[in-house]
Amino acid sequence: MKRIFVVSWFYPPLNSSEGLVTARLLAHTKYPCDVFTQAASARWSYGLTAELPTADHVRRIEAKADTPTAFAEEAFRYFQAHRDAYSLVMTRSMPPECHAAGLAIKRAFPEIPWLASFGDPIKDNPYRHLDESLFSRWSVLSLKNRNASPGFCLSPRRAAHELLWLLRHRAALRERVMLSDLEDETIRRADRVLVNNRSELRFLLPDEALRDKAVLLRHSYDPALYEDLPRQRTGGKTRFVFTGTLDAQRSACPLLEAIAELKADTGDLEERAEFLFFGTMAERDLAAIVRLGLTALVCYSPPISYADSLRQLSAADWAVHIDADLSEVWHENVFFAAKLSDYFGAHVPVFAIGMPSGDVTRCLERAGMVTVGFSVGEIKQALYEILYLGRRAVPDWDWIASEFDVQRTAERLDQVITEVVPNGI
Amino acid sequence: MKLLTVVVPVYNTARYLPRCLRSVLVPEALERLELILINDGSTDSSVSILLRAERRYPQTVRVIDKENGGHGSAINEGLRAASGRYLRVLDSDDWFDTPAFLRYLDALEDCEEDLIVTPYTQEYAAADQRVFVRYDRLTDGKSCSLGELELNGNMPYVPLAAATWNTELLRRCGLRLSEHCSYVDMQYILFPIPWVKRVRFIDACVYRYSIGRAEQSMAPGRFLKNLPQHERVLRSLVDFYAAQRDRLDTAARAYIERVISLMVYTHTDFLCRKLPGRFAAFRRCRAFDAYLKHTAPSVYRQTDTYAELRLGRRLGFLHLLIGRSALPRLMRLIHPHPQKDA
Repeated sequence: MKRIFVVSWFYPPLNSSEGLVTARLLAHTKYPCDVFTQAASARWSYGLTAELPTADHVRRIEAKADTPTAFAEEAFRYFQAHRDAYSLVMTRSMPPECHAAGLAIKRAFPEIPWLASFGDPIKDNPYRHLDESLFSRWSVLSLKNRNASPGFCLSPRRAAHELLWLLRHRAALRERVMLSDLEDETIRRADRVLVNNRSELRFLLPDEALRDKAVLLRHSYDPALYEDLPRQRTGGKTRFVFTGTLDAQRSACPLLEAIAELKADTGDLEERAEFLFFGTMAERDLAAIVRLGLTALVCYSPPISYADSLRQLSAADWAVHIDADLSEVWHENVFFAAKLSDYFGAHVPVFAIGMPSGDVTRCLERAGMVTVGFSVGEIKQALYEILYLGRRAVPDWDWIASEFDVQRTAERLDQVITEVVPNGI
Repeated sequence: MKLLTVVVPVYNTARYLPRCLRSVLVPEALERLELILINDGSTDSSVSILLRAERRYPQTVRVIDKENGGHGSAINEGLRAASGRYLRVLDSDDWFDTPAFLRYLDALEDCEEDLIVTPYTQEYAAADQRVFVRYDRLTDGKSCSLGELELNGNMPYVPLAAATWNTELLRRCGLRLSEHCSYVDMQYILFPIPWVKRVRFIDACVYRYSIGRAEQSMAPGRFLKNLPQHERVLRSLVDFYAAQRDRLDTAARAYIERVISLMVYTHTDFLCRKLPGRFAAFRRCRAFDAYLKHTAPSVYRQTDTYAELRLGRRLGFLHLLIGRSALPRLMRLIHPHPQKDA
């Protein structure tokens, strides 16, 4: 039997959501895989702190390259040298250069089926459109201006501002063109495009004709990883745990301000609740904890190992999920944080702060979790209901398992593989 | 008799209803509260949510199911059914801050005034945006006459989110809002004013007004589409003022004139800037202005203090036929804040 060649910049022991999702998925597929990955660069990760049980049918091949571009080139060369060992290629972004490797392979070997998995959209990633060093606010191509009036679009003043911006940000323009070509070509040439939520599917493939090659493969959890972990505590303060990354767009400030207001209103919040953050936190959020006088309620710890993060989640009363507010550039959330699958696996109710529209919100509501918007008043009210009125989430664990259990996801992947490799791996 | 009736008009807000109801139906409030939920012909699952609440809290919740007639018709129905000493309206896509609501109920026990004023917040859907309307010049628990009521410059009247009425006063004044029409909350807050003698301020920020969604009537796109309704409500207020003017005391007259002036400014501003068609904007502005001058000359004079409106009137609104942006640009040069003269 041949093998599947998987190109993934992130993979354990590198601790990152994308790598962990890949590792869990491949461990449960029935097909043997070689994962071409790297450990030279811990950039965009929490370091080499993710240990997962090894799967006998998954081999790890470590690249020497420490930049995504060099990594993609090395992946292509490796595949070229070992072509006969493989009957399928799967590339997993982010970073997008993984798909560059897939594209190179597909151009050189058009007969090889290729699955391109998009962790996030690439060329029009809403995060990029929020960043004015990457997209000018005067640009008609910016998602911020997607509903702009004809007057704005045709305005000479706007055009002049955009031209000046382009002259000053040539590198950003070149990168934008490169990413656009990469995504378009990947979608065109890949045999299947794997996405992790329906909003991403609509966003990535607005052309309905291309949706035939789309496959929805959710971020999944492995129940076996939680078997030996302590269950939720009983008694004591209500513990809210966040694990992951917070930044300028995905900020804890609305939550912190809500906690501060609730504390001022009730006077005994410190006896009822505690909020633990593990991971990375923006300076603004850290400053807010001090500014709002929340040091007795809110505790921040730097990134911990993956195993420790699961342990913390299993012992929590609520897992906190915070999404970015992308409403300035898109009407719905097109992302589905892989970390949510860890939360589901821990069987802990989720308190989610995010946009009102998007597949992630729909899933969380369907799953019976508590979802609120970004308004401080709404967050505060929900916390009050939980802490003082006994409001509970009513999780539908059966539905969650049917959508996010890695066994189901792996079966779906195996089905897709059977479709694209009809003669078998 | 229950202390407070809260009327909740509901139309296709199944998504927001649970939040609204949870914030009000708390154990400490149930005995003092009468919650009247008016289903105004919803076509989504709102009515099942309402009936579930009624089954769960039969001593507190009453559901009235009616054909669609608009926000005003639902409030009319709620007022007819209300039995609480005080009454306030809670829109079903908004909610109460429960701790503040409980403090407010405690303070309401000792009230006998006609109108109770409370601060509120405008809660935007996007992060980092929130407006507190605090009424900083008012003292918590203090009772005063309408003339002594010192409201903030940026919110110089008491909107629906801030108002609690004595139910009997609303019945005495024969409050009846227009039906099949948006913006009737302005009728709700103005029609009872001639009967108001005493006002009290309770410093509990109860009402959380959810704002910034495209489907709301104040969203710019919807406002333009609903401009005829806005004008219908505005004319009803002007006619009301004209009919009541001679019996109004100084404070009530000043209050009503102030609110109508603000509405007139918003209305003509939209007509001038946003209404498609230069000739249509010109015709409508002139027609409304002539009506206002004839029906309520004192309000007309008061709105002359808005510099852009004043200049537009001097020009006979002819500038709208030439180019709409010319006058606003000229005004921005002359007055950096071209709304009201200082």
